[in-house]
Amino acid sequence: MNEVLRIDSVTKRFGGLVAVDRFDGYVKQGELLGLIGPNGAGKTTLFNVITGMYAPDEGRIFFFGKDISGFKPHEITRFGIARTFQNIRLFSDMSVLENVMVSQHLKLRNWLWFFKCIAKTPDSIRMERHMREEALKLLKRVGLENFANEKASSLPYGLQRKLEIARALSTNPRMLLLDEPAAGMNPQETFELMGFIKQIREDFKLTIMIIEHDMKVIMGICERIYVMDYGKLIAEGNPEQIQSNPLVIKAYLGEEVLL
Amino acid sequence: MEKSLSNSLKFILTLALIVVIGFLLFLANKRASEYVILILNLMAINMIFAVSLTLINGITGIFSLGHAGFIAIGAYVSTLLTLPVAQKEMTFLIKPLIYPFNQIQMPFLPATLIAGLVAAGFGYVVAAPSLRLIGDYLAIATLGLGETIRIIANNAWSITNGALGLKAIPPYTNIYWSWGWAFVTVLVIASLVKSSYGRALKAIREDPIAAKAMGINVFSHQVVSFVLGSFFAGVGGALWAHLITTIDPKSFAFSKTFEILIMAVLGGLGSISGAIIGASIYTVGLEFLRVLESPFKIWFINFPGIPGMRMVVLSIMLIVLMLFWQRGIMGRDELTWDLIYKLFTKSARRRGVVDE
Amino acid sequence: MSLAGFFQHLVNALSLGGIYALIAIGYTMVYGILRLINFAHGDVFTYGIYFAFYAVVLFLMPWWVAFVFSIFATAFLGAFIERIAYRPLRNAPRISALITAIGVSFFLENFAIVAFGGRAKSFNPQTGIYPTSFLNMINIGGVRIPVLTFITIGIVIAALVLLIWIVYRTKIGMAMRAISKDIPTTKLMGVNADRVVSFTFMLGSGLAAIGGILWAMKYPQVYPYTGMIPGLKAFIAAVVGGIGSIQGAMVGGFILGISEIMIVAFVPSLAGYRDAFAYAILLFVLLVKPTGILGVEVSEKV
Repeated sequence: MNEVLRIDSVTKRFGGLVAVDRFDGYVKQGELLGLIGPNGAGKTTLFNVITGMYAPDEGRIFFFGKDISGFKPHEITRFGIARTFQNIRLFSDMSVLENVMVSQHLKLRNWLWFFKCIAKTPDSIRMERHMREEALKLLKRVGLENFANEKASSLPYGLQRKLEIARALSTNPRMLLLDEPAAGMNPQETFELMGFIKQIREDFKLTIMIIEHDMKVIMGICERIYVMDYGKLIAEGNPEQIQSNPLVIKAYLGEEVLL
Repeated sequence: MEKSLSNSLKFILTLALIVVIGFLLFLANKRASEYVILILNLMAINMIFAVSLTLINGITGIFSLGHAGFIAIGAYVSTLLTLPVAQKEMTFLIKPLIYPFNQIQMPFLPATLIAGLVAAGFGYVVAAPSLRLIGDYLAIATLGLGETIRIIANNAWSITNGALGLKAIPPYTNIYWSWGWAFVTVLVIASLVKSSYGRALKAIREDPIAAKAMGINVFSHQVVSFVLGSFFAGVGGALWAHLITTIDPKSFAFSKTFEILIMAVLGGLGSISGAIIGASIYTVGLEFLRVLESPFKIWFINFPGIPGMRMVVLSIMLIVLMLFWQRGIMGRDELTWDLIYKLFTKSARRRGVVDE
Repeated sequence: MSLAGFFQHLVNALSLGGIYALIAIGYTMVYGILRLINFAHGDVFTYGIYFAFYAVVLFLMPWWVAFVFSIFATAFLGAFIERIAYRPLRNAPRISALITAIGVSFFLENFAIVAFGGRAKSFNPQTGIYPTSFLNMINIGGVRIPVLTFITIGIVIAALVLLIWIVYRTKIGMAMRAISKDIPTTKLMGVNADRVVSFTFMLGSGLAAIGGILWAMKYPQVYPYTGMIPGLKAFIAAVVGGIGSIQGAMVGGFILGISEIMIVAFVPSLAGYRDAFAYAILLFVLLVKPTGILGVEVSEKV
């Protein structure tokens, strides 16, 4: 199977703290990969390094064989990696539809569009219509079409998470990074979310990497799991292997339980 | 499904509004007193200032306090281009004006355009370092830049005639120029804000990190917004200089930025129609407040006018606005035909209930 | 330049830098606690001068009583401003608080025009505001320096020592430092946050009054906009030193005062641009180290 992402000995430090410590890993085409570990293990930092929010101090990241380390976040999004955030980061004062349309903006690749948009040339009007249709299609896909004109901040929590995913999908990604998508959801919502994630993987031919504390989600949908602790990769394997790995149990529960 | 107006009807209504305003201005230009015409000119120029500031501060979320500096650049550049050569020789007594300004004189329109372009170019140069800063640091840096422009104007005698300023500027600004440019400003900025770029700018205002993650080059968009805002500030400065006909560095002190900020905040920071409304109310309101500074009489006692009273009232107004009505008139909404229609039908419905 | 001349400039620079430092502390303490640029601080400084002036001229207080009165009156003015204009906005968007602060600044300036008149009032011993002996010259190695300059430096040092003592050795100082880290948690510890914020404003405004009186004796007059330029420069000093850091404000104040005097001394042709130096220094520091010399890096959590 094809390799989509390769993380090659990536290190990220904050002052004296080594948040990610020589992390090696890969993600295969179409895979649903889980990334777990105790709080502060460096999972989100790894996401931030992959998406260019932080430049890695050491190591490199390859996306479809291309070295993307050191590129800016917006460039990496254009390469085809989209993400959601642990603490929801919607454009809260804009409508649900506008939130998704913002992600269509990267289709305007050169600044000629800037003048076309001001002059409202026919092709800019066509483009605007196209963006709206694409965004509506996505909203329909995630079941938010009835909220299109509501303010994003007025949505209930679970729907805000869904909107974040729709917004990420709107950048037309090949790979999606989900940072704790089930946080704050009730069991029913979580169950639906699991089906939803699997479904969008099929529909959009995505490769997905997911950080989640809810083990039901991770064990239920992930084919392979990486476990991080203190910035290091401590275990790798399928759900059964991870569940029985003593190192993982130790990282989560501490020393005493093992003894 | 909510009732709304069809696009073609909205277009016709907008066109009709523009024709009506144009006709009223035409009438005013023919019949109204010089004083009223002056106020109308000021109103249009203030709209240009407020709308361009709204683009930078309200839409893009760059809290810039340097607007007066760009206005100053526009005012000085245009004046140096339109002032007759002989007048320049008479004005620049302490140090002669440098080449090529001492030899050229051009019509108003190209001078205004060049003024805008120079202001925009300056905006481009200062945007790059300033935008590396965020929030309050940016506010202070832009405030410093605006003040620095004023200090340079005060000292560069061979370009600006220093503290003496420039006098006898040809009074080219009339209703057509000022309202024409106000129309262009609103058209360009509103058209931009209503496009994908406008959404991108608002996204940057709401959450720059998320905007980056959605593929938006935050920095270049901020620069473009800043440059476009500076361009219109420069144009407005040119119009203003040719309206009041004398400028000196003091005209571009921080209080100028403050005034524009009040207009934008009054209208609702983040709304273009709000900025237009804010600028109109401010311009007219300031004239009404003149009463405060003129002598008045209670029974038989005469009180002399109190200079400065207008600014006291204005600053109290701003504080009260921020404390109790941060949203301003429009908040971040735009005054669209749909909104008017909705308000109208709603109040009609309410009246209907009362009637029954 | 002769050594004696240099010494003269140095003493001048220290007294100017000290005044900037006194004002800068007010900015930095408020910013440290509320993350608010108190635009009105420069005008509070102006009012400190007016209070001292009217205490002597109108209420005929002896000069030293007037100065103490002014320090307390200004302290209360600062706390009053916070209570009326800033406290209601503590949870509002930062931009609203900033605009309000600009509004307060303009109010104070224009109210001064209305109440005290726009014309400058002279602040010199002839009006009995301070003893003539302050202007006596001391001869040090052939350089004649007014007593006032040494008094200024002495008072600045005393005020700074007192401030450090309050912030690092008293209970209220500890509360101030705690609040600047985390208001909600400090409240949970049973600290009355509002009272601490009020106290911070009083402390900052009192220091501004001291700075104002020293300033007015040096440039012997006061008018409604007196505080604008020193206020802006002190703010820049606070940013240059690292806003939020008291030591930073002191360092920044002295850097600004010294560089201003020295540049004018060595390159007199640039004297007209003296007010622009501060901005040049500001931009330079912000671009090299955006958090200022002693500031702490705070990166936003993604």
